[in-house]
Amino acid sequence: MAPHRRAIAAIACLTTAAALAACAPAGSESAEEKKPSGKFVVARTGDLDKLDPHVATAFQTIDTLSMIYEPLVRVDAKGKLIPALATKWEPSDGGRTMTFTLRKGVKWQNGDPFTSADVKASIDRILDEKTGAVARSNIAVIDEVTTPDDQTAVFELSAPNSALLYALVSVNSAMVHEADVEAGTVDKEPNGTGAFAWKSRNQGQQVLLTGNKDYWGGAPKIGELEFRVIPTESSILSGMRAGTFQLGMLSDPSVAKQAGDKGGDFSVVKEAALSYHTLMLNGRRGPLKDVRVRQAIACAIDRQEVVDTAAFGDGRVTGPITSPAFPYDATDGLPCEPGDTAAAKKLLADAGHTDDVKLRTIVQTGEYATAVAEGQNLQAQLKKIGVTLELDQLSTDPFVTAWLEADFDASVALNGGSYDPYLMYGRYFTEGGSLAKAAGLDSKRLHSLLSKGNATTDEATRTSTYRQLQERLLEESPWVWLFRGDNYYLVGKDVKGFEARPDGSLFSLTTTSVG
Amino acid sequence: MWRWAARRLLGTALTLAGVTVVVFLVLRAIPGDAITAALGIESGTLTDAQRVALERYYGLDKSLLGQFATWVLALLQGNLGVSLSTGIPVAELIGSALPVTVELAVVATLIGTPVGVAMGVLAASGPGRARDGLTQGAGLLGLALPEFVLATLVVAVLAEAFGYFPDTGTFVPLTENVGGNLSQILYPALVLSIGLAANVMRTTRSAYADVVESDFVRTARGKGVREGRIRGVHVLRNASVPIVTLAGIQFGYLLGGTVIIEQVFALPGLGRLLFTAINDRDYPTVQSTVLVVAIGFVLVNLLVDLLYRVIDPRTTEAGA
Repeated sequence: MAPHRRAIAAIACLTTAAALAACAPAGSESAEEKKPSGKFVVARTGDLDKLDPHVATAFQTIDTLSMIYEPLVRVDAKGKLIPALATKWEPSDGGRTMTFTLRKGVKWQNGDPFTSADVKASIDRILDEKTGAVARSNIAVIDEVTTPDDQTAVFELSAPNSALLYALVSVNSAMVHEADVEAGTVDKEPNGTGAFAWKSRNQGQQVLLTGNKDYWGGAPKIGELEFRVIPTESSILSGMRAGTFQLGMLSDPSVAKQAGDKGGDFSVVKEAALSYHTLMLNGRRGPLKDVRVRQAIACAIDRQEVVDTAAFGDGRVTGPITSPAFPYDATDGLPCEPGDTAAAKKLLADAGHTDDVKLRTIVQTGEYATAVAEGQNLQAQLKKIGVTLELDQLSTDPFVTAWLEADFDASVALNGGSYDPYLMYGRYFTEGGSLAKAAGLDSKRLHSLLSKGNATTDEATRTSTYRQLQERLLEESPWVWLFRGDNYYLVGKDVKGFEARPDGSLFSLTTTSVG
Repeated sequence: MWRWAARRLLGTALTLAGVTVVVFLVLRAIPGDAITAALGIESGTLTDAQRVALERYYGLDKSLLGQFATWVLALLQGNLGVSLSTGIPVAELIGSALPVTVELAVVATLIGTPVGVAMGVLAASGPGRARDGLTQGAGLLGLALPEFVLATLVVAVLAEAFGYFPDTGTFVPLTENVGGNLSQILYPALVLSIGLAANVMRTTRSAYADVVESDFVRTARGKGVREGRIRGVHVLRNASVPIVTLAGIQFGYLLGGTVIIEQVFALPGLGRLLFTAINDRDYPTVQSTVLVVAIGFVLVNLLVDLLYRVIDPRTTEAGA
């Protein structure tokens, strides 16, 4: 239909205000003009807010910039380190020096060659406190970067640190071009080495990227990658049904449930995230100072029941470390089977408590869909052993303030995960850790296990140490680890090669094709 | 007339100044700031020097008065500031969002008002009869149905039953393509117009009922003017003062109150801009956007006042 005829049809609808059926258009403009091949539309609820990878925190920003910028090293889906802009990295001097050999023939999207000077400029920029970089605390162990030649960057560390390589994986530690740092344009005009290059943005609506034909890993099959902002998840679902998007990203289990598992227009891919839902306990307060009380709470809770009621069964009960590389039973280390209320009551009685434990429990509203339902289910379960959760629902800012100050007895939380255990728990359970206050417990044992695991360069020692760490975490029960929630991806039926990952990375789009 | 205009102008200026102050203060009374909004619990991992650097960047290092002065001074030079979260000039953000919301409000008002008036007249013409009850019931339903339910339903039905998704997320301006634009605006405007029509219907019904009872209608009847003419011209003209008032208020409300519709239909309007900016504690964007909405409200009020003078000669004599 020609535009003006469509306008007339629209006006006819207006004047009759007839039933929707009479007015459903014969298809929108874009459906009529066949989409150019290789165009790929990703629908998500938010827009990217910043263009600077080092200060990016919103996951939409991280997803977008991860297509453009690259780190020195990557991880595969299982959490194993693999080369990216660095082809080799070798520790020496007992782990105090890390020498990176850089990939040859890599070009920035503006045509300049990628060299060790860019590595130095990037790391220096993250370490500079004026940048306000998110990854600074994770790579603060780097004292200095030296560049013996264009293909080599040497990191001098203040102490051996096995988490460093994993900290470098994030887009928050991505390589930026030295020339852009000097010109002060990093936050204005994205210029990376990745498979997609920045094209344009329309604030609050869409971001357009184009496939980088010169990408060192081979040109992507997607010619144009579009991130479209559809604020309401149910509208994303409707758009998938209408065939408007190739990929839809959801986080709300109730909307994902509406999508069903049926084939047809699209498939629903569920992938358990690295982040984890937990009930944090403040072991520096009242009855919770007694480890038996914390264990009683950990014993009383049937984790699967929380998943089933709060997240429609979409989630995976987990031990403390969520990386697939460190599998561990969710409750191995507790003196009982979870959900065993009799054992829990006995533990409470041994500690001298019956029916008198009341905990002010903070719950975050408006940030993720399942928080309040989790709180209510935990409340119901703990009632059985005489522990009362007094739920205090707080919006993001008051929640974060109370959480950082440890102004709670218990906290229903969703905490970020990582492929590296130290990055997950070093900030909570080591002395002077940046979030040690919120963790609610000081434990020399946890501190020494974390320090040991992070200082070793021997993989077997690292694995066994972190295994002990998990057992110890469950034994001391500073928190109750509940489950890893699912991320949902609605994948169009003509999309080939998309792979969802626990860390939420969309890296597989570099090799995905349509049609 | 001139005195009236001067008084109006002064009142308008005072209103806008008041809005400026109140919004500024209310916004800062909301707990949290741009740093916590962006970083969440990660804000706890910042070093002191990092925090200072970020506070300077976000302009949070100045006193409240200093922040206010900075904003007002910029405003007086016609500078609406720069968005804290995106670094884009606020004028640019408002410039692209305003037309969307204004068009939405205009189309919804154009649909809702005539439908509401027609239904109101229908209900008033037979008080207590079946058509009155039915119309009233429909009106109640229109008021009671939550916007987001209706909007979600419309989007879902269009997609499920017709495989159609108003190509949202990539808004087509009216100036670019009339058909494409209307296909995006029509459904959200229809949803918005339902509540509006219900309100107009109720006002029309009561205003109409009042006027029908009045002396001049009896006089007209006595003079032998046809009933149809009495009801269609005289009564309606006299009943239209409250209707115009209501439609004006509703239109003003729509300028800032289309958040939910814009969320569900993915339209990049003022409501969504405001919603996102409040969440991000993006002070300059919120302040300037609210100011623009307030200006819109004031202008609509002015227009309504002028319309009174056209509709009802008595208002001018009373000196308004």
